Amino acid sequence: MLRTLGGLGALPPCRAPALLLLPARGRKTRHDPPAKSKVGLVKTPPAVDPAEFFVLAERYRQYRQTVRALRLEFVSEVRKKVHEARAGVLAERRAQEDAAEHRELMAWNQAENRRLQELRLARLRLEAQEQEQRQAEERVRRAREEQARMQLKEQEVLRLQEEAKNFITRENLEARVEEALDNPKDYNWAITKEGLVVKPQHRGS
Amino acid sequence: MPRYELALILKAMQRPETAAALKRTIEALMDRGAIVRNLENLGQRALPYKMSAHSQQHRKAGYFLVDFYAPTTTIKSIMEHLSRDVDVIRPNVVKHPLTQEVKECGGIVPIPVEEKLYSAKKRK
Repeated sequence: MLRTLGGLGALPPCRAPALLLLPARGRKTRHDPPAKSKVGLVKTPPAVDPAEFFVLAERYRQYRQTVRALRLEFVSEVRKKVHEARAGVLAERRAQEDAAEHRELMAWNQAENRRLQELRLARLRLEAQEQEQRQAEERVRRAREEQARMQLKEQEVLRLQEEAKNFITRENLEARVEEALDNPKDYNWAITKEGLVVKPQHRGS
Repeated sequence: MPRYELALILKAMQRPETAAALKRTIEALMDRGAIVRNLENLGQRALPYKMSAHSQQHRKAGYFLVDFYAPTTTIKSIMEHLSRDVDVIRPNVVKHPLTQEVKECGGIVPIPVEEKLYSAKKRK
């Protein structure tokens, strides 16, 4: 922001111009060659006062020592807490309690399972018995039906045997033919409104 | 063996010839393994319309019914034989009506008259 302002040539009006502008890169970029006026320039660092330097270094050393001690103290505290949480006495006790609870619950679960197993076995036994009963009934019913069917078939066979005595064979063929020609049959019939069946009477041939 | 009925229409002939034709027919049936049950004569009467068979035309014929038991495979040969017989005007083999099951008559079903009167096509 200052560069742009510097470029414009306008200073911020609120600031009093007591401080010089800080050495920020002005017109030239870092890739521009230095100016002719700077040829042979040897930049020397500012002079150091040994006593002042010693005092300063000492103060810095003490400060950093204190800060480091505090930091290490805090770090160890945190690690101790983590260790406590993971493997301390309280944690162990809690783990034991959890294990005991788990064992209790497992035992309860197995007891429950055994109870349900008993109920299930009883139920299955009942169902098997009922199934057996139903099957027996089914067998009885089927046997009865089979018997009835056999009876019907036997009756049919007997009926057919009776009727077979009237069938046409080569021996009674001629007799039957003559008999058929002698007796013409007439299937026509009519019914009156009163429900009386009338058959046609042949008046002559 | 299922039970069949042969509705036979024989030429109007004298009695001995008719007897001979019937005998011939029944013997043909029995040769093909049929068991003949009964033979009925429905009389000699006028045909409802003129029928022609074997290059002859008939107006009178004798109607006969033969009910018999036969194996299913032989019916075709029976029909062939009967169609070749000169005295036979019209042979017809059907399943015996007494073996069909008797269905309960459901009575007259009332039909909505509008459906029958008006066509179902969409009119614009």
